[in-house]
This record gives sequence, C-alpha cells and structure tokens, in this order.
Amino acid sequence: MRAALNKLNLYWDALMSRRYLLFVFAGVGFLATIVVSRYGLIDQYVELVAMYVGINIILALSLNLVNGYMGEFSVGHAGFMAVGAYGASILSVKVFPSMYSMWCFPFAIIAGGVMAAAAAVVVAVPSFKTRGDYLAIVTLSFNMIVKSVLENIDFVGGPRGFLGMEKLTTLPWVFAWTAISIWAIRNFVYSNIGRGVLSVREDEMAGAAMGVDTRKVKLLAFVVSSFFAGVAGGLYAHLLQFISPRTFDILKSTEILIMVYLGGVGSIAGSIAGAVIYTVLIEALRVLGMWRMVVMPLLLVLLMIYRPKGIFGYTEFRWFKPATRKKKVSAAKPCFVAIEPERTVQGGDILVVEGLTHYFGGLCALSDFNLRLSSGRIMGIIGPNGSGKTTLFNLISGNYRPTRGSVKFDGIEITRMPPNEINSLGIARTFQNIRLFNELTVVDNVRVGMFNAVDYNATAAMLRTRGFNECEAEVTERAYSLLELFEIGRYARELAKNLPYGMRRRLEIVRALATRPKLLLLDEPAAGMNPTETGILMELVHRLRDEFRLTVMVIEHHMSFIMGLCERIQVLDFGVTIAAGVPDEIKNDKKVIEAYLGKSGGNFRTNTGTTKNCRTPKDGPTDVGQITPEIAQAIGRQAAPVRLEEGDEKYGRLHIDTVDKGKRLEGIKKAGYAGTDDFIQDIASNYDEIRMSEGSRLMLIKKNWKDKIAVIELRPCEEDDYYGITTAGIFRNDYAKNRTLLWDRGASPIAKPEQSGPLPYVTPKDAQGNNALRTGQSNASDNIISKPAEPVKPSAEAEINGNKDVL
Amino acid sequence: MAYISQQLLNMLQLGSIYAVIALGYTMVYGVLSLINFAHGDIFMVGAFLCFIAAGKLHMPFVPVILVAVAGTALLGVGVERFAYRPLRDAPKVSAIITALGVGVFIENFTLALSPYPRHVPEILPVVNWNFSGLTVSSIQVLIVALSIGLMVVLDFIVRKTSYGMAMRALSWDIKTLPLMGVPVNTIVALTFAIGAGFGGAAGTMYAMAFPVIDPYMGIMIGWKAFIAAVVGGIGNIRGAMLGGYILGAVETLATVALPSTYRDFVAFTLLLILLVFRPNGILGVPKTIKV
Repeated sequence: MRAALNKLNLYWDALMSRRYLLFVFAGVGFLATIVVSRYGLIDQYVELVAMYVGINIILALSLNLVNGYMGEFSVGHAGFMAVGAYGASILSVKVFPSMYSMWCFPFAIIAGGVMAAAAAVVVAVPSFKTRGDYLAIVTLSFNMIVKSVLENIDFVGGPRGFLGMEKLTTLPWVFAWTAISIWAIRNFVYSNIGRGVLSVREDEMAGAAMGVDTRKVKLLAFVVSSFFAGVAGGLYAHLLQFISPRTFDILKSTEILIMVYLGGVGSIAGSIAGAVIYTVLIEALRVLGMWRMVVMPLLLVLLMIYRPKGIFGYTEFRWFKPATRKKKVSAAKPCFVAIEPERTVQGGDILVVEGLTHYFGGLCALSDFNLRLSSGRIMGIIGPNGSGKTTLFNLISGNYRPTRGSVKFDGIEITRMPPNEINSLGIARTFQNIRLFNELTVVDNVRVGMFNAVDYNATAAMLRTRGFNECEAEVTERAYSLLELFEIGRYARELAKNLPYGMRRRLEIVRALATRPKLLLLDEPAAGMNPTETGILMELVHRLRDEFRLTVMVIEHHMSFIMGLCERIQVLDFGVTIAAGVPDEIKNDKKVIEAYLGKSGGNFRTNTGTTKNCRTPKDGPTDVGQITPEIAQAIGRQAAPVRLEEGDEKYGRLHIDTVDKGKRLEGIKKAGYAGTDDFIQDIASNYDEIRMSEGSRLMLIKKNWKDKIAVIELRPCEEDDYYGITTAGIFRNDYAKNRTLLWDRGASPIAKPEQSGPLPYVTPKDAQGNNALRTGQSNASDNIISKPAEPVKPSAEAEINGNKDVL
Repeated sequence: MAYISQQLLNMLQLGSIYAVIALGYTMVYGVLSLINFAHGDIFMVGAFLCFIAAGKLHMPFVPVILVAVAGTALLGVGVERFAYRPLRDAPKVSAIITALGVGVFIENFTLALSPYPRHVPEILPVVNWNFSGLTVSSIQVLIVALSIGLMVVLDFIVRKTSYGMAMRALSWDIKTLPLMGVPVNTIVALTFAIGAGFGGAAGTMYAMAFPVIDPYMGIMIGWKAFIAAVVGGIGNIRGAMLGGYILGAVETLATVALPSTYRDFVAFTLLLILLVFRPNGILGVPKTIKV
C-alpha cells in the first residue's frame, strides 16, 4: 500500500516537474474550446457558465495582484471593470465598423483595458500617499463615482443601460484571455518588479530602504491590475450584450473580493480556485432559489473563521512558479548596471552631517548633530536608550525628514531625498528590530536588495524576453553567491520568518549588502547575541569593510563589541553629542559614565512623562542587587508611573486612577514597551489581574528589541513591597533575600524556555546558584502559581530559602 | 428665504440620520480598527423592525423605537460574538471580508423573508407648522432632536463613564487592557451594542422620514455614512457627527443645484478631494509609524 503511494507520489513529482505541460494543456484546451463552441458540443448553459468562470478568473487575478501581492485593500474593482466594459462597448458599437466587428473585437477589448489602466493612474496618484484603509476608501468612492457618471451620460444610455453589442465573446476568446492573464500576471509577480510589490506588502519601509521605488511599483501593479479588470469588463459586456451602471455597483466589487479571499490571497492558484468555486457554487445553489444568496455569504464567513487565509493562502501551485534557470553564459553580464561602482578613495569624507536636528512634536530627539566620517572607517554611535541614535540613522537613510541641518554623502546633498534614492546612491542599513520580508524566501529577500541592479522593464518581465531571462539568472546567481559567502546558502529557499534569530540578523546584513552600498548603517547588530556570536560578528564587520570596501556606522549597546570594533565613537545623550573620540577616550569620559549610570551611580533614571530628565534618585531599588551598566542602559528612560485605585490590602487590584484615565494609559503606551507587547499579552492571557499594593507604581522597562528581557516592575512609593515581572516570572522585591518567585514562566504551559533571558535583578552569583530560574525548568508545585487566573497569594510556604535550588 | 430655510432643514434632517449611522461605524473602528461593513445592513434591519413593530403589531412610537434599538443591539452583539470575535487575532483583512460577508448575509436573509419593498405606516401623527412660508413637520423636529439627544448621550458615555474610559483605552491597546482588570470582551460587546443600537435608531428615523424600505437600502446609505465617518476622521466620535452633517449638507446642496442624479457623484468627488488634502479626515489625527 505504502509502496504504491510512494510510487504515485513519484509519478506526481515527475508530472509536476514538467512545467511545459502547462503550455501543452493551454494549447490543447484552446483548440478544444474552438471545436466545442464551433460544433456546439456542450450545453449552452454549461458553455455560459464556463465563460463566466473565465471572466471571473481574470477579475480575481487582477484584484489579487493589488490585495494579495501588494497587500493593499481595494474594494472598488468593479469600477475599473465598468470603465473597460463601457470603453470596449463604445468602440465596438459606435466607432468600429460593424461589418468588421469580429476583427476589431480584440482591439476593443485591449482599448477597454487601457482605459481602465488610465483610470487607475488617476485613482492611484492621490491614494498612494498613505497606507492602510485609505485605498479602500478611495477605490470605493471611485466605484460610486463611475457608476454615478455613467448614469448621467445619455450617450451610453444613462441609467437605462447600454446595448447594441454583438455577442462577440466566445469560449475560445475567454479561454485565450484567461490564459494570457494568468501568464502575464504570473510573470509580473515573479520578476524584479513583482518582488518590489511583495516587499511593499511585507514591509514597505524596509523595501524603500533597500532601494525599491515603492511608489513606482505600487502604481505599476495597480495599473496592470486595472488593465485586466478592464479586459474582463469588455469580455463581460460582449457576452451579456447589455450593460448598465447597476451591473458594476459595489455588489459586483464585493463578489470579486469574495472570490479572491475564498481562494486565498497572494496565490494565482488561489484566485483560479476561488473564481471557479464561487461561480460554480452560485450556479449549483440555484435550486435554493432566493436562499442561495443567504447560504453563500454564510459559507464565506465560516471559511474565514476556520481558514482565515482562504483555500490556498500564500501557497502556490508548483506549475505557476517559474523554474529557477541555471545561467548559461557566465562571461556576459548584459543587464547589470554598473557592476562595481567606483569607490571613493580611502581617506576622503564620505559622510558629512551638519547641524542635524529633529523634533518629534515638542521633543527634541536629535539636536545639532555634526559628523565627518572618512571613507573606509568603522564608526560607533552609543548612548542610553532614547538618546537619538536610531533617529540619526533614520535621518541619514531618509526614513525621517530632519527639522534642520544637512546630510551630504559622497559630496551629494541627500537631506530630503526619499529612502530609495538614498539607497541607490550607496547607503544601506539594517534595522534595530529586524525588518525582513517575512513571507518571502531568503533568496528573495536578497533579490529585493538587488532591485536597482536590474535593468528591464515591466513589459519585458511580462513577456519573458531573452534579456529578462538572462538578467534574472544573473540576479539569482549573485544572490546565491552572496548567501554562500555569508554561510546561509543552505537556508536560501526557506521563508525568512522561519530562520533562527542569528541567521535573521545575518540575512538582514546580506540583504543590505545586495544593494551594493558604500556606507553600511548597522543598528544594534549584536543585540541578543552571546559573546561568541558577538565575536564572530565583529570579525564579519571587519571583513565587510575590507572585502567590500565599505564604510560602516554601528549603533550598539555591547560595550566590548563597540570598543573592540570601532575606530571612532560618538556618544549621544538626550539627542546631544556628549563625547566623541577614540574608544579609550570614551571609556574614561566622565560625562559618558554619568549618562550610563546616572549621577549617583546606580540609580534608575525615570521620565515621568510630564517632565523631561526627571530623575528619582531616592527610591531606586538598589537593594535588589548590583545595577550593572547593562541594566542601567536597559532601563533607559522608558518608565511611566501609574497610580492605583484604592485597592485591596497588599495586592490591590490594579485599576487606572480615576483622574485622567485615558491619558494614563496613553502614558504607558508612549513609555514604549513596544518590545514587550508579546510578553504582556502572554501574562494578560494567563492572569485575570495583576495585583499590586496601593500606591505602587508600574514601571515598564524594556530592552531594545523583542523577546529577550522584559521587566515590568511594580515599584513602591511609600511601602517597601514591589513586584518584578521578567520573562522568567514574577517575583517580589525581596527576591535577593528570600527568592519569592510568585509565578514561574518556565512552569506555565505557554512557556518558551528559549525566550527566558537572564534576570537583570539577580547578581551573577544569584543567577549561578539558580539555574532553574535561568533555564525556566522548575517544579511548579513548590511555590509557584501554576494555574493561570488564580490570584497571587504569597504564603509562608511560598517563600523559600534563598539557598535552595528549586524554585 | 423660505426656500433656503427649507433646504437648511432638509440638510439637518438628512445629516442627523447620516451622523447617527456614522457613529456606529466610527465606534467599532475606533475600538477594534475594524470597518464594520455590516453596519449599513444593521441600519436596514432597524428600519424593518420598525416596520414590524409599527405596521404589524401596531405599537406606539416609544415601544417601536425601543424594539428597533434593542433588536439591532442584540444583532450587533451577536455578529460580534459569532463572526468577529473568532477573528480578533487573525489578519485584519479576514475580519473585513467577514464583515462584508455578514453584510451580504443580512441583506439577502431579509430579502428572502421579504422580497418586496415595504411601506411603513405613520407612527406618529404628522403635524406641519407654518412659519411665513417655511414648513416644519413634527417628524423633522423629532429626528433632529432625537439624533442630537443620542449624540450627547454617547459623547457623555464615552468621555465621562468608566465604560467609555475602557473603550478609549481599548483603542489604544487591546493587549494591555486585561492586565488592568478590564473585561475586554464585555467592553467590545458593549461597543457593538451601542453602535448597532444607533444604527437601529437611525433605521427608525429613516423609516419615519422616508417610509418605503427595502432590504438593499442599507448598502448605499451605509456606505455613505461610512464616507461621512471618514470625512470627519474615522475613529473620532465628534468627527463622525460633523461628517454626517457635512454629507447631509453637500447632498442637499447638490440636489438643489444639479439634477438629483448627480448627488452621489458630487458627494464622493468631494470626499476624494478632501482626502487628498486631509488624509486623516477633518478631526482625525495621523498615526505615526515607528521605525
């Protein structure tokens, strides 16, 4: 039995690897449709349904390009269909001579598509300013406007509708157009532009930072999509021989949306399946009469609940993916523009920043920053959290526009350029909180980085010209060789989101290198790495500089890393440069030490939200253990106080104080536990409430990136008790003495041991004697609340001796 | 002069209805960032409940509106519980598609039960007052007064009560709220109940002003009220009110100045122009994206 299955599987694989069969099927199918419709071999009704299926496939595919591949949300696709339908109909009824209508038909259809595409340009220009629900609203309005305009044009019959078209849409025509649409859209998606479109869906900002002209690719995708919607409209008009503005109302748009999401977004096979299933089901359910339109949406809702991504959802039928071709000629590199950009001579100033200042509202994030960076150097930017380091990178890379000041790169003023242009001049960056294109493969992530290295246009891509094929092979080969160079070649076909953490960091660097930069900005590349990994990274950066002849700027918190790597360091605090110089100077700089450790050496610095630079030297929990520089910097100034409502005795239920409620929450939000969201949710979903003593303050402390250390400290104002929450669990402030762990994350069923980081409040000695805490393996029955939703009740038994290695 | 006043009155009446529906959109959007595309159909259900209560059961005015509001509130909560809640952690688009599906379901379900347009009988005797050429009907006064009353109540609830506080907090951070001891599901259900109840109230008012109702009436009016919410700044309660009245004014003016078929054209074109200059609506605040 199993052998038979295996054999079947083999046959299936063999069949699937023969992609050319798709073309054979298409050809045979086309001939079959000609024969069938010529001799009337099938029932007219079946033939009609088949034609509806074809038209709906085109519609679903075209909408999928925008909603699935580009990740925008267009809801007015029927508007473009209407433009195509009316455009084609006017041409074939009023313009083209009726005796040649057969021959003019394809031109009418194409013209309809072109008109729809032109309408798309008009719609796209205002609507691509921002993302989100914006395009939904604009396309919706467009649909309504088209309908309203058509109702008011007497020339095309106004609200009565337009007729007089001959029945020119036949099965072979529908088949041919459907095949062309599938082919063209598939080619579009699997090209450089398609990768740009996908990068917009995955992370528009990262896409732009990698040099993708996001406006251009979005416009292109939208125009191509509308063209095919227009084609479908033209076919539809010549099938029904009657169209009216009501045909293309919002219900029609909804229908197309349903087909796309039913089949699954981001998948050609999904669109085809969605269109076929929907059309056939609608016909099959006719027996239900009026109730079929009740059953259909119900099925859709159920499908969405149980399979939110639709039937296919981001997965693709193998035949629709183009084969990865091996490059035939290795010598000729015809399409790559400027393969080795000329490097500036070592020693010249590659980056000159003058008086760079940036405000967020009233907050000065960066103030009068100056920098001259020589080519070929490795430079470090350090400073406590919130000191403006990442803001600086964002200003240089064009993600933010500075309030004042200028940035010159290689002698070119780049101050207000869009990120993609800055990237193509030769500045590439990585992001603090890794921004890969998660649903794309590793090799595609790198190929997005080569967006500007490719020199073919959308038409060439859709027609799969020879130049295109050569260029793609070249890009692919280079992407693979880059991946090999950094030893992540074996992951090439894995989705980026499935990579282990260190590999993700590495891939981000490779992706940045793929844009062939002269200056590389690394934002906390060593975050979350252990000393060995940090060492390897250090070597890597040196290698990058030497082999790729790069200039490197690094933001990092690991002091040993920065000191060992950088030739020059500049220190920021509250947006102001407080020191600059070689590592040894920085190490001994009084101001720098103060910025990191606070004035009285070891106290938390807090920002109460209202006053800047507010420090609370008195009630810092210095008794809990040493505060190392790492902790001090982890704390930074992300703290916000929350007053509690008069509550139950010791563990008063945490409410938000009655005055200023909205603002309080906002205060917490702004204090920014962005990186700890998951953790908080984690606790929230396991506890009904967190109990705190009255007058306690909730302090959220985060480290700079996700999933490592998240400390929420419940800190006293008057009383002595407070509670700390870490990835390992919730503990009391007398932890150092009594080791009262109120809840052990390791023991909870949702625990992910690899996420539990070291406890910042534990001295190294404590941590050593307490492996259970670090690894998250512990005995739940002892002193831990193992059941979620049970209020925290510390009892005498719960407090165990500090020397016991249980927890 | 009288003509102008008459039109102003029409604007006020139409704007009130749009504003009350728009509030339903904006409340749900504000709290869950979900465009509740079924809201227009909930409005339609409100009108049909009004028809049943008044036309079939011959109830007087107050019970009629109570039935409509309670019925739609229940419907809203049910839709949230069974269609949206399972998708709260799913991609946003799935929830939006579900909303569309729910909308189509409600429309066609009503259509299957009642395939023909219905005529809602007069619930309250109509009195017309004449002020030197200006005719004011009691229905117009009732609609405007009722809407303003509802909006004041809602504004109070959202700004001054602990439930309103929880709603606002929810819109900031749905993940942290349970940590603060707030029962999130209750708050979301309450939001839907209020939003849908407003839709029901608007349905009743609409049925009183324009007595012929049909199952598809919610589509166009719903979308327009959505547009009103966007114009005002979606998620912003006062914005929704403002947007409703602006849309009412624009539509009335368009009908006065142009043939009535241009009404939608003018309204939507205006929206597009407005969005080019103020992408977040009149009272909306732009969201900043953190890198």
